Amino acid sequence: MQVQKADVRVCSAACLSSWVGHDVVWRGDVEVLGTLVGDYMTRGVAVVGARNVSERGRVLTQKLVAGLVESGFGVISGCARGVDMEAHRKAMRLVEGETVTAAIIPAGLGMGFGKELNDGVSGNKAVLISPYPFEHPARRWTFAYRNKLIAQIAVAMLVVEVGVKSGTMQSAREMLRLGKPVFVMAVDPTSPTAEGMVQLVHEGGILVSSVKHVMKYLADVGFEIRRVSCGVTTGKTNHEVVQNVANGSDCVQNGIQAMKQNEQIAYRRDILSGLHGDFRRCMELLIEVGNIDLTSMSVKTGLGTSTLLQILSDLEMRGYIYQKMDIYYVSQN
Amino acid sequence: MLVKINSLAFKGVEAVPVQVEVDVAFRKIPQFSIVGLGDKAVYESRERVRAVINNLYPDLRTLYKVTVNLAPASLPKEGALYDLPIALAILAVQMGFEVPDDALFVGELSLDGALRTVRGVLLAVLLAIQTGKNEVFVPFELKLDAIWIAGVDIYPVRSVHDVVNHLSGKKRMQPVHRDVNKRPVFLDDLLDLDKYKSYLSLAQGDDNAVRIKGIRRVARRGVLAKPIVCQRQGSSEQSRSLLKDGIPYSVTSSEGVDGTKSTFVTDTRGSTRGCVVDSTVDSVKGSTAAISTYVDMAAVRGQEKAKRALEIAVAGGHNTLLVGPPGSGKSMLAKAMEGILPPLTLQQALEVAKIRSVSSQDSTQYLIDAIPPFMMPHHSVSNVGLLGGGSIPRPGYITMAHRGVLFLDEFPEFGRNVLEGMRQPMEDGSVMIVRSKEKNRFPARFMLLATSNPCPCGYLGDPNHKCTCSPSQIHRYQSRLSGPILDRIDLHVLVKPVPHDSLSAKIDPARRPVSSATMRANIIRARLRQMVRYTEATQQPTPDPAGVNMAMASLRSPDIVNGDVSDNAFLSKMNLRSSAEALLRQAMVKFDLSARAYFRILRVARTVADLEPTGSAFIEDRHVLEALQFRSNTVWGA
Repeated sequence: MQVQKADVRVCSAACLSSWVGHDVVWRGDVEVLGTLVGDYMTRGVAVVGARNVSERGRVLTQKLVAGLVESGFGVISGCARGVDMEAHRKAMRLVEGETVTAAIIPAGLGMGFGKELNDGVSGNKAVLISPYPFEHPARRWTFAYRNKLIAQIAVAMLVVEVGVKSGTMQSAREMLRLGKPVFVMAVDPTSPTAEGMVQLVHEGGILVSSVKHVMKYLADVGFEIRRVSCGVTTGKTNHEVVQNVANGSDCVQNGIQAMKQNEQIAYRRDILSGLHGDFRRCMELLIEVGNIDLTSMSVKTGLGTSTLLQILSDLEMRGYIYQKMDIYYVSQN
Repeated sequence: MLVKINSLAFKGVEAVPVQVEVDVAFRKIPQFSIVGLGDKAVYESRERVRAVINNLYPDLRTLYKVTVNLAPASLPKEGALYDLPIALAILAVQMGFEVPDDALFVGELSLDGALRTVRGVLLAVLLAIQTGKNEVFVPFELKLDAIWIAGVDIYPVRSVHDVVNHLSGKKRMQPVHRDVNKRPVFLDDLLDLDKYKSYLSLAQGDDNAVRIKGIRRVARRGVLAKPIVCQRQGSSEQSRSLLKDGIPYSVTSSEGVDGTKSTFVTDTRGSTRGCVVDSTVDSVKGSTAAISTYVDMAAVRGQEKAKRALEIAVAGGHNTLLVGPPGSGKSMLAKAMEGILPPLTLQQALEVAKIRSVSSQDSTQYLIDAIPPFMMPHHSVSNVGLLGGGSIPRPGYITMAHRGVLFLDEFPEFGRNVLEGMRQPMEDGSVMIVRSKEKNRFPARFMLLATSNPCPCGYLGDPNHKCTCSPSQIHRYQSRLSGPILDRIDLHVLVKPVPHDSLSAKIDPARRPVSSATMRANIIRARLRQMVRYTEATQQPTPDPAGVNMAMASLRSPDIVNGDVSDNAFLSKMNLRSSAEALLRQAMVKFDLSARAYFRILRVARTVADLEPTGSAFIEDRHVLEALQFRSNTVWGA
């Protein structure tokens, strides 16, 4: 079943007060949708994923959504449990008075889907979009159609966790068929959703590990990366992030490495701020040289063996360092 | 006619009184029989005795029947030490002199009546003291005066004729002149802090400190005929020495890294025969220098962790394993460790001396000194050689190392059954050897120092060499040391090769490495603290300059080091701070430690606390933290 540039019905704040008769016809043109529900939706990015999402996936979703919204992208999703709902909620928390998220529901607007978003809809932060008449019931095929519609509307898609035979996979395939980018978040290879991830990457998805890679890609294909100040700040402007990644290399892998280094630096700064005196000196030395044995350490710090052993033991207990064959190394976070 | 003479037999490392009962009846047919479970050497005694009497006193009657009973008859006896009492008994009957009841006789006869030395002379002296005898007659030997212990007269017998003259009153013998001043300084003497202040003050920066007599060590080893006496007066120095084998030698002096002056005695072949280390300052009267063949800790470059580990190990008597690639300095460290061993207590010294006396026939058997034994058997040693054994059980290396150090170089190369055989002795501090004829319990309370390579090729973890072993080879090699054995080792230390540049680097004068003398003084203080803690108030040692009381008591000395003391005594007296306990619990989870490791770490932490310059009544967090660095998975893990 191909998604036509069909009529859809949008439930926005304006029509929520009286459900009946406010169906708006939209003919598949994002510009039009934008005029209807706000600027964000002209550049909506789909954030989709599994219903039974892991805790990591949940946190990841929130981070992704935050990154998207801060860069001026809207969030489109399917209003299902798990990743979808997490994406909607997070997006709504980030901005005030602008429609930032759209939920595509698999039934008529009057069937009770998307009730959880009612607050958002009345606060003008979210819209519900349905391709069906007002009281159309949900059926198996309406879900499938909904999934494809998401792909129609979104400019890009972020897949958080995906089963091989899931609706998310349908969305992603449609997306790929339409030639739009599908970003697949990397997961632990041992997790049950790894198979879906690999499948999707094989079919043309782009493997990413953070929203920064997504931004980089979108910037490359010509999207303007805006900077929107949100409730949550990351401390770095998106521009900087993009710049950092771009400077590192075009390759996503290098980007990952650069980012890890940044995280390491921050982590080590955190460690050092909690240490004082000789403990701090030893830790600074270790961070500087990476690994060291006790004798060299004694020479470089001028501390006695006994004292050094105590300090190293303490740092080891705190998990800052570890030792292997009598050489002390700085732990990774 | 019946004559009874006191002698002794050996049971394990103890002496038990034996009465040599001799019945002489004049008959037409000569006969000579010995009963009382003697071995071949005992039965051959009659041939020696008969020949001696014929040779010395040809005019005596020869037609007599002799029956010798060695009582108690059920105790197996061995050796030729009953020659003297048997001969004396026969002569006493024939010549009509009295053999005193308060005397004890041992000795092997030569056919001309001269006496040959036997093993266990010191045990005879101690037995005489214990059983209230006044005189001991033993074969003549120059070193007899090394038995400085008082309480009994020792008569050195050159010939059986001397004893006959002495007993019949023709010509009295003189007992060995012994000087109680030859008594070395024992650990329990040092409790008398005022008298031996200089002994202990070295680590506190008091320059008047002196080193403890190591002179006897060299003398005992036979390297030098005379101990080198080294006196410093201003800058001039006099050294006198003679090499025992008469090889010409040269003496070279050098300034040590810690400011000590060392004098090496080198023979013409270029090998070092001895070393005198003088302290930096004019010594206090009566003491001079330490002579040793061991390596000074200050001469060991790098290896700070290993040196600290050895200090802790010696202070608390902890079993230690050094693991490292070849050439990294494991054996050198072990030799250096010999130089930091603290003196024994008098009671321990007596135990050690008894073992030495019963197992050796040379002059060292007379020594009662404070230097702990340091035994290093080769790894081809047999089970019996290490643990003890024989049809009449004799002590093995673990018993010879009692109260001292058993150094097993190349630990995994020892036979599996040899190593596993050490499990129970290491736990109990003694070994029970059971054979068909006899069973004996030998003391074996030693500190184990072992070295090992990390893998068959030796270079695992060496930054300069590539290890060529396969993982399965490494696994097989490391699994030669079974878990139970490794579990009994308190300190595990990885010894890394020292980089060339730091070997040749000039030492910063402000940061001189710790010398053996300083370390030893620290250790002695730590040992004294442990001794005071673990000894009951009633058992506190009393001054015993002549050693008589101690010889009378003949008790097994209590364990007074953290590594050996019983669990009950340790747990009730360790004084663990609750914060340190919490820390250790946390560490158990973090480092995945076993329950046994938990208690091992506590003991090591207690020693670390005792090693602090002023001692620490409680085990604090810092002590536990330091002890944690010597846990086993720092070496074998990963």
